[in-house]
Amino acid sequence: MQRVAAYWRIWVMAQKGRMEYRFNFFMDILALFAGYVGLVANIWLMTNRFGPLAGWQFSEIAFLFGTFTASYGLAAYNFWQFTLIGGLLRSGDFDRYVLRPLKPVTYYAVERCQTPALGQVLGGLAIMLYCASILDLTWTPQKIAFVALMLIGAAAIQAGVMLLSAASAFWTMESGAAWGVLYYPLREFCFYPLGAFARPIVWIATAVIPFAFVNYFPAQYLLGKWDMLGFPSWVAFASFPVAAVFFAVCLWCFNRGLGQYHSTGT
Amino acid sequence: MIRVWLRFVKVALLARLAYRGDLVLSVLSGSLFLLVYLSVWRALYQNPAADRETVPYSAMALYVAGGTVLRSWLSSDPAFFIRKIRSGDIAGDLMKPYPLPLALLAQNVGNGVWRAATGGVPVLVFGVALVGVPLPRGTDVLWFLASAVIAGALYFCYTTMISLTAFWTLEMQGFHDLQWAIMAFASGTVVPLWFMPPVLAKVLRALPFQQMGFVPLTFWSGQAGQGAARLLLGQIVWFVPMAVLMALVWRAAQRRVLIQGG
Repeated sequence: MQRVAAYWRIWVMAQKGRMEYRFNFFMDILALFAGYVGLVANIWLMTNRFGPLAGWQFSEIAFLFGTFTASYGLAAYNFWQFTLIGGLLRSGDFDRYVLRPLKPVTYYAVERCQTPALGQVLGGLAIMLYCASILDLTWTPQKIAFVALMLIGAAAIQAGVMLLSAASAFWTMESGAAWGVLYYPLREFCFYPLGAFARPIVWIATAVIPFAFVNYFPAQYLLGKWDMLGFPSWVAFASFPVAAVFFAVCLWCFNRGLGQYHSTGT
Repeated sequence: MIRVWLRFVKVALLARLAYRGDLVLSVLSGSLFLLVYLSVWRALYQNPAADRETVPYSAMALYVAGGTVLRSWLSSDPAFFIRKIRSGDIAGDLMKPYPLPLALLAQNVGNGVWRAATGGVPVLVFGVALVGVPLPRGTDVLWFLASAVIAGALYFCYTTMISLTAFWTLEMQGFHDLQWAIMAFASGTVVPLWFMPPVLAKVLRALPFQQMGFVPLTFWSGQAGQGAARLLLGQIVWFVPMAVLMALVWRAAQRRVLIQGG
């Protein structure tokens, strides 16, 4: 209980610090927003001229995009800073997270939380709701519960990927270079329906880095589509367990890395 | 002056050589981007209602692949000035006998050449060998190279203006992300202006962003035709106001200098 109070206090302090730079705070949110508007606009331009993509119309693709973005924001809020851990390891600044009587993962996640990521959560949810209204989806209590679970699972998968990137830093001591370079192309696969891609990509997104469970499979239950690319239809409901296993594996990798961490001494 | 400048370019290139691990990663990353966009366009063209008349699929495949080369060449360092302001190095740098933006230009050219050679070209080879990207015609490549150089100059002016705002805001990330977002859409690198609704295409044609994406890629994909010389001229014309504007911002920034510490 005392621990929870400590985390709470650290979190409040972090938020206050972040709000000191108000201009930058709003600028960051505006920039994130513009970036996502641009990405959605590109999808609209494509489908406007060429018609549905792999059988998916614009509002359905945008729903996938909204789901991805909202869950990314949820994950990024507490975990994005893990992708920068290489720099802290090299400079020795990470030592203070290891030396306090708190869990390093939780402490770092709370203390360095990324407030602008809330913009992504809100933006993603807004896109989802907008698409749902265009597509005339009826909201039932089950569906709302499903959305909540889907987003938590999706966020856990994305957070897992961030932890995995951080785990690799314990061995390479590299800064976040690998993260940006690999993550940004990989996430692009989630912006479009998986059916547009070749089979090996579909398999990788399902069985290796389970990005397909972030939005493609679960969103189909909400959209009533069932375009499962040969997988059984229950995969639409498998996001949560898949995410739990994936996140646990990633956390284990991170803790393995942390276990063999010894400061660079700088 | 040129000799000094070329030495800066060389240093930037050598600094890059020190990180060979990045090389594998950047080729992998570029190949993944190429794969995403190639797959998406292929799926779009397979649509029965697709617009195949404007540009054939082969030209679109060229366009996408050319985009990876162009993206790797256009490099910037958004944090160049803010780093110097935060560390206090700016004080010493302003006393050196060359304008600071020139050092940034040299660094960008060095990085751009390196990234195009080690990231852009290998990705192109991957595309041609494994995923059916056609090769551009020789003359188109020459036009593209000329156009890409001007695009690089425009991109330098644009990104430098953005990073100079650090002198006022003392921060960078937001502005950088915003300029990136504008480029991603308005340059036409992802969706070419051919496929945009006429009104939107008209607006974007009047802005400088397409000169750093759509125009060079029009050459690469062999779609410039008779208007090639005019297209290139249009890029050069844009360079004048951009360079003047950048020079003005730089002058104003020097007057704003605030040393944060060291």
